[in-house]
Amino acid sequence: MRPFPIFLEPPGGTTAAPSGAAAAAAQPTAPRPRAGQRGWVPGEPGLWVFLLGDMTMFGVFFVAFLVQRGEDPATFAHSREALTVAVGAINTVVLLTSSLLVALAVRAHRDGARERSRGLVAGAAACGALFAVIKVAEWATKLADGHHPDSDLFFTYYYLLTGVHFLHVLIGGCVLTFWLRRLGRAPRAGEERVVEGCASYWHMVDLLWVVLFPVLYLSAT
Amino acid sequence: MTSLLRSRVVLVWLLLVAATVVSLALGSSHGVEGDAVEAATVAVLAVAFVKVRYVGLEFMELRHAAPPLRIAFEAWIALVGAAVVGTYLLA
Amino acid sequence: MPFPRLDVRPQLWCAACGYVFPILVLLALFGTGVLPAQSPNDSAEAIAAWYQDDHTRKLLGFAGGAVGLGLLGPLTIAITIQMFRIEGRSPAMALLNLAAGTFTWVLTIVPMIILCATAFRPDRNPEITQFGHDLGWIMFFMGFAPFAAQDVAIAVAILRDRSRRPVFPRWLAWFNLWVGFLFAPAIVIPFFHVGPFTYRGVLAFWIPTLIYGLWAIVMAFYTQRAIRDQEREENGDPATPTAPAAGDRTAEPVAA
Repeated sequence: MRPFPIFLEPPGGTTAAPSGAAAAAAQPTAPRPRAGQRGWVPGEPGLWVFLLGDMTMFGVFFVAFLVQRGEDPATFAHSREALTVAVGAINTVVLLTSSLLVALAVRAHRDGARERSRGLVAGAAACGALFAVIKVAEWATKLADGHHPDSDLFFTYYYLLTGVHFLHVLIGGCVLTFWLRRLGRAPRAGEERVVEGCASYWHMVDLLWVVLFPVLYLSAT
Repeated sequence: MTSLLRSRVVLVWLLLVAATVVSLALGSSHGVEGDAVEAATVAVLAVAFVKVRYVGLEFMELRHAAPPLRIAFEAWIALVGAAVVGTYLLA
Repeated sequence: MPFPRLDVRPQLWCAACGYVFPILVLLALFGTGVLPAQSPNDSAEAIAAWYQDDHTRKLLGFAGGAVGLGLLGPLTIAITIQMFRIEGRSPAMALLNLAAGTFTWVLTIVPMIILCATAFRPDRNPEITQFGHDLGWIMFFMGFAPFAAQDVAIAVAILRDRSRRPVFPRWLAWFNLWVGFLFAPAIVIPFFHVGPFTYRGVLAFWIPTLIYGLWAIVMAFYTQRAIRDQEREENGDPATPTAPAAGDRTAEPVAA
């Protein structure tokens, strides 16, 4: 009796071993360029399909927000006053700092300073957590003041845009945690690519906020 | 060499934080009236995209990356930057 | 025990449905003027009037949409089989893809049927017609939530494909993740009556709809390529001397 459906078995049946000779004879794929070499891409090329695509989605969001603002400038101007600009600015500095720590962590990893790299990533994660705490506190105060997502279109966009960005921050937290755990284990082949990829995602989270902050908080009428 | 690179990154961070403070000052509505408000906001938005460029080129290290990637990134900055500033002014 | 020569044509036909159904569905829905949907901000009377006007053409649109969407499922099947080739004995992502894709299949056809029922009796109470209209479109667009799960499943499987000759190109994983993200705005459709997040808005309707069609065509192309790779691998293709031997898809990956 077959233990698995037929299509789950390797072709040739379960008793066939992979052909070692053929494997050795197969052409090896060329190794990817490393940092400092020509044609280098941080992480892997496919990742940038996702990052640039995600950035484009946010670009559409920003424009949609500004178009909506143009249709009702009075409401948008009035509701914008209810935001605490300083909080947004603090969050910007928090994320910029986290990006600095991540950039330093990548360089430390390349230098072989694994423990230092780990500490830097942990620091970046702490900044990310701080951002999240500040954001939730900000939402709580706005809600307590009576500004709900359906109060007016400005606040709909406010909660939606900061919410989608917050989702990215949470995923970034998972990415940084994954990175930290990777550093806790023995070095593996291809690790530098993974590290660069994680870092690039986090930098994207940062740069999205760098634009989101002035668009939402500082676009005066 | 690496300590030099490290301090470059720190320098970029300092400039980014300074730009944030400047944007905060420009973007607060105190003492700025009429057309100056619009000009101030355009400046703030433009500064934001310059900051994004530095995050990309220096933090993400795209300055040393394969040209197609760098071009794609710069294109995003140019296109989205123009769209954002344009929509702000024209909508 | 020798295996019979593998015939992958049914797989290829299933994958080819991915080329066909977006065109059929978009033709049916846009061609008859059924999409973009009438605004959720319209009054019940306005919606009822829209259904009364040329209602046979609108019925044709919904029915045509339902029929066209019948070809959505086979693409999922083809992708699933190719994902089995990646995962072998622990096909979690392949089966998740199957379940999520099937669920999307259901959640896109049922609303078309609901809209058919809505258009069926245009002289009824307008409020009931408006409810049918809202129900159909909200279900159609929010039904893309399982599709996001499908995208994640495909992405995870592709990224974990460490064989010498991956079934799908790696960038396709990131493409799937991106498409899944683009559908996130669809979740907020029930909160909006105006603006870009309604079921006719640019962010919750236009972008997800057009991107879904693009996804189907891209996945159809790369799935067919993977199917042909499987055929070559299992039937042995003398034209590719550097191809790994059958069973060698489990060989160790090259160092980065």
